[in-house]
Amino acid sequence: MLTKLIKHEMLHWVRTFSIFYIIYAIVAVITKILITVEMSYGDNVEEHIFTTILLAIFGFVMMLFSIMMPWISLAHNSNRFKKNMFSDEGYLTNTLPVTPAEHIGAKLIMGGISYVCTCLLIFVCILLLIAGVDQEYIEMNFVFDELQDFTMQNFGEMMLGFLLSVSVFVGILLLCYLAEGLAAINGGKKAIASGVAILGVVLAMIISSAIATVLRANGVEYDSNARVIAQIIFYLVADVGMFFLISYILKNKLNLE
Amino acid sequence: MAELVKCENVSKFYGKKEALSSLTLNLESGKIIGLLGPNGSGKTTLIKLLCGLLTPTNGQLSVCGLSIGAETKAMVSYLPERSYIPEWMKVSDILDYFQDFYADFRRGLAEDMFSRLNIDLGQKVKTLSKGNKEKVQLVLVMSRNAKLYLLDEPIAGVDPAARDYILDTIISNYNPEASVVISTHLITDIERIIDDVVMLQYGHLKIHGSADAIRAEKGMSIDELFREVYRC
Repeated sequence: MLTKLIKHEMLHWVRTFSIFYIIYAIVAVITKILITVEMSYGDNVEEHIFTTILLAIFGFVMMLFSIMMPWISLAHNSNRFKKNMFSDEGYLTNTLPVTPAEHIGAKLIMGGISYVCTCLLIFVCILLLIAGVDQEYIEMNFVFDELQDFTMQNFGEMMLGFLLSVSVFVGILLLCYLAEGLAAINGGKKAIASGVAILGVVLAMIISSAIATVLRANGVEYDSNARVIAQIIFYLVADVGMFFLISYILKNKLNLE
Repeated sequence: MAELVKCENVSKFYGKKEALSSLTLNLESGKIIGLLGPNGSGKTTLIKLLCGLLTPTNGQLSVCGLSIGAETKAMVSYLPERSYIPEWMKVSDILDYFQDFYADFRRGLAEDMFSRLNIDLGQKVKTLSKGNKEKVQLVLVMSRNAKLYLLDEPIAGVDPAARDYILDTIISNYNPEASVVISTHLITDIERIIDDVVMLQYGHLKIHGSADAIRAEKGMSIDELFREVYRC
């Protein structure tokens, strides 16, 4: 049943997000063309002022999309959970022969796939932008400079960073699910849901800094990889705890009035 | 007759308000059961408890001897009193959905009923009229070869012609070995088709028995009895 749930989640995701991805890819291609055109003009500023303005606009749109897309994907996934489980659509979803763990699992897996795809698309588009661009041009533009530095990072560190971002992303998703679940069993009281979400974030930050302090006290201050691994483990443990808590709510406390 | 549904001392509270009060009830298979009672008597609550949309405050519920969960949901076909199909879906999408999740779904039967209703499979749910949305949901529910059909107010708010269509669809498509629970307060329309009667009042079981036996014992129709029991 889990695979069937994922299939339907994926169909909905493709239907909703394919247009965003296509627009993003088109914007990246246009930005790349503009960079190439601007580079070909050299230092003759008057000749390429129009291209520069266009490049600034497209560059801004691309940056905006790059920052917003993972968050839009997260908000969409969280909203879909709420709609599927606790609105009128819940009359269909909650009567399927599927366990609560499968419901949550399917949405999380789809959220993860959506996040990874979004990151991959952003990464590929950024690689496309900086490929073949003069070192001098990159150094002139701090954004591209940063991007190039990012791609040149050690692969292991990059993967650790990526794993950390995935575990944080899953944690935020689960926190949203938990807040929605608690709001639903408390007659839709948003204040409770918001309180739980804020408390969760604050708690995560406190525990995260406590881990960092403990590690520092044990002499691993300069081993950033060890810190990242500890944070990943912490978030994974928190994720598993929240997963079981939401499953418990859906199984034993669901009240779709 | 095999015991299909078992409720033992089931209570349900919404906050401090008691919707069902220590309800003990057994339903057999192979029957069409009228779940009757005025608004607020606990009909919808009982149905939602049986299909897992609500969890009881106290007591035990089972369908085919199993506690309510994924296994019982595979055997129960539920028609809610509201529209639950996502608006963005096409009729064909929802057929795919039911086919994927319910092993007992008879797609051919559903397509045949849609064709007779002139409902295009490529049509989006949001473009359907309210009446057609209700018919789509009914077709989906009755196209399953379920062991228990739970129909919550299937004939409320529809015209008499649609009522006839709905009741004919129920009678001609349900699995004869299954039971159909129809919740309503429009007794006249369903009296001709029900085998058993369950009457609820303020969350308590008022009357439960065979429709024929009740008519013979009380010397009146179920509709007349309903009016007498629930007289304001």
